[in-house]
Amino acid sequence: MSLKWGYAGRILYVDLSKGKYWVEELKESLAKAYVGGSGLAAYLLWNLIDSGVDPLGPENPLIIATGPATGALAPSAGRFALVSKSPLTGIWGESHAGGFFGPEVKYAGYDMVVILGRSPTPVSLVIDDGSVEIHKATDLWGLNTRDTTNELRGRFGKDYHVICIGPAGENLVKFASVMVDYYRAFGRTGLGAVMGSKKLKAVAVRGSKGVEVYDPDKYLEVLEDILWRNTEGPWALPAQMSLGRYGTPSLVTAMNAIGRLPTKNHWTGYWEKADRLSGDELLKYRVSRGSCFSCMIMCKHITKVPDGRYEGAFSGGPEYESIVALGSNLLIDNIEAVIYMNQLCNLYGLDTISTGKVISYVFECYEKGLISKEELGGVEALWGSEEAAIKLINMIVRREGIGNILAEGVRKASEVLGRGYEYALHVKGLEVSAQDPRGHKSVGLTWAISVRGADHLRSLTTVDELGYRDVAAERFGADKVDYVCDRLSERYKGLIVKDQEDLFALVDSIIMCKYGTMWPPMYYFDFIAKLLPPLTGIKEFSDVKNLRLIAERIVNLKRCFNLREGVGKESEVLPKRFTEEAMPTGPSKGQVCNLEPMLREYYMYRGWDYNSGLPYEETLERLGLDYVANTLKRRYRLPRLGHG
Amino acid sequence: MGIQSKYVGVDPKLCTGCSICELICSFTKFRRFNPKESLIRINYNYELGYLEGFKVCSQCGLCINSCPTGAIYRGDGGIVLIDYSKCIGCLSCVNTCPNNAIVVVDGKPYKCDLCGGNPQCVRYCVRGALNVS
Amino acid sequence: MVRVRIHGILKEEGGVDVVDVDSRYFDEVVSKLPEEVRKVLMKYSKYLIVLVNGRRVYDLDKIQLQPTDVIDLMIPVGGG
Repeated sequence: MSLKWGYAGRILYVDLSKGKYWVEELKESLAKAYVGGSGLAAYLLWNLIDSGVDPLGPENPLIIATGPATGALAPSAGRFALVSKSPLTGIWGESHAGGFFGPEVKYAGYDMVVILGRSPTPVSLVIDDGSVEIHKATDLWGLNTRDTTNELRGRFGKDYHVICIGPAGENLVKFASVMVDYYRAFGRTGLGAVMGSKKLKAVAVRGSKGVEVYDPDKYLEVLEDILWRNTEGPWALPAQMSLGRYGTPSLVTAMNAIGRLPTKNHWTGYWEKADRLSGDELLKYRVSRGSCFSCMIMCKHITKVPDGRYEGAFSGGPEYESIVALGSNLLIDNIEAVIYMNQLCNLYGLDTISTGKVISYVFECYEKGLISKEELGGVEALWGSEEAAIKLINMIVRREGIGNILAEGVRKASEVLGRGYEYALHVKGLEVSAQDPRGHKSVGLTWAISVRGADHLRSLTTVDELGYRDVAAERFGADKVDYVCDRLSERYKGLIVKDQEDLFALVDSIIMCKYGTMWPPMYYFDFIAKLLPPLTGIKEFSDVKNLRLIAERIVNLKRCFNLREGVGKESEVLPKRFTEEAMPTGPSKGQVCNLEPMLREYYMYRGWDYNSGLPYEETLERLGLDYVANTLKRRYRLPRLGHG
Repeated sequence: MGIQSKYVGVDPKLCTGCSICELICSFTKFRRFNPKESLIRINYNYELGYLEGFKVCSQCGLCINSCPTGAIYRGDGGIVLIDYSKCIGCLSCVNTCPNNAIVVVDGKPYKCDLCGGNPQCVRYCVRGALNVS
Repeated sequence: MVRVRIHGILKEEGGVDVVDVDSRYFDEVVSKLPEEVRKVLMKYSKYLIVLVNGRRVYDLDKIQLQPTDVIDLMIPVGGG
């Protein structure tokens, strides 16, 4: 059976070194095993490279990945993924973005675009259905992401969608982002630097095809279900009135209320001035409410600063993570400054999260007398200084002075500078996101075990944020609800993080959004079992047990990718700030995060051996990952549950 | 002619550019998802954040006389319909339409017919930006 | 005085963000809030989330408040 429902059934390969491209068929067996999106990209990446590849070298592939639902009417089916080996961390690199580019790739007739090699001079890749062209982009090199996007759409057509890098990616800043449709971002893990290393300034795409549906009658039932969930179901109002109306900024005051709003380089989780950065404060600056393709939650917003010091600042966002990273994390309470800095990061193509955490590392080092004004090129890195933050952003992008070291990320920067290690907050080299494990224990586990590093998007659980007991009872059993919903309890967090990581592995492969799955908990495995079969015609997707197996397969493959690079359990540690420094203020005062019991529980549920940090061979066999086991055995002795 | 027909209208201030109207239209009519085959088209400016263009049949009826086989007519409620048993696919109607609202799919012309009275795009617009005027 | 903080849509429609109330029981606290706020709480009662000092409370009748307690009122939000 050929893949033609949901899927395009085709993978486009582009070799920038040779200036060639070709199309390969997407085999049904692969789709059945890995679904699509980052799951399928994991399989491709595993097979395209071996360990030890230089992430900024020509051998490192860059994969644009869609899933079977991309381009169809399915929950937030505009999202898509970018996958590669990360230059920031040296391990698994993955980022997702919304907007409209993803569906256009599918409409052009491809499930994935695999970019290989490296161009000697700046180029842009222009895809128009079956026509694939590599164009010179020397005149675009140096432009910010907005101007690049406008240039390409002006040159080739307004109906083209564009992803591109800005000066940060061009200068190989290790946490450079790739911007999508102006304001959406493939933010994390430095994929912008991968594009920069390939001298690939942008990819533009336009497509005329559609997405075929295997059983339209049955799929109509799914559509009616989705409509009901978003208009009349129990989560419809919160989705619209919290997330929809205020966007992710609605989280600022909520996270502050439970005492896990990162403040002053995560020194504490509560800030008296958090209200000044709240969702309703930001509403005053909003000029439009928008949506990603095919999404009913519609949480995007564009903000503008009408007057004052930052007059004219205009950008999509800022989102919650950016508001924290550039706001409370730096003790900056001026929302206009945050809007401006968010725009700056978008134009330069910089991950706001990593940028904010690099700056807060500098601020704390400065406060503690570990770094001097001279070393900072005259910057007075004081807490709350908008001027200092902006100067540092510019220095990082241009790799100017100390910016050249800071551009390497907080782990490398602290190593090169030889100080402030305890203020360099990262896991596996990825700077921490806008949570605090002391006020939300499961976050500690999520950060420690996530394949990207300190990542909130591969397994963040929300059932234990404000406490959603009904959801917890349904998914994990009424007997566990008290512990599951207690954000300050370490018990059962291994169970729920593993469950969420599996769910998200599918979400990231179908591809759907974390909004609707992470929160509100609108869609779960049972919904996926209803969505995929009538869309794709693949009956194996209708069995929840099989879906869970596929999810585990994907998670294990990604974890083994890191093992193949030699990065294992020794890296699953948290900065001491979270495990040893009791939270000093706020509703979570006095708390520390005790990682070990959660980690042990997680390993148990994963079928991995806690002592060695390796998967039991039986686990890999059960998941059909024998080829992975064989490769790992070159380096490791895989433990076996059974004997002989 | 003097017949006031219903048509699908939009409040541009409420549109968020999600394209769900286009997706449900192409699915309802052609059982697949392709915004370019949708009989309602939006052009959302996602750089500046506003609805720049909106196109759907206004049921003006100018296409009726352009049809050489008389396949286009006003049905119940004044909605302009195409009888495909008479349509020869000459596409004269496409050129006549002042709104460019007739879409060609697999060689035949298609236009908004309010889904027979219960327009799906209006139902699926969660924001309530679409209405029947 | 118990501090009541109101968030999001409750704040927007109720018109108030912070109120200090002299009371020990939740029902009493609500009765002492401005009328606009009480109306909004009724409107969203099905979705109301109550935190006391940052901890979610489900049995509102059983709450016994201390003078320095902080109550946060909001509708469901999450995931960040």
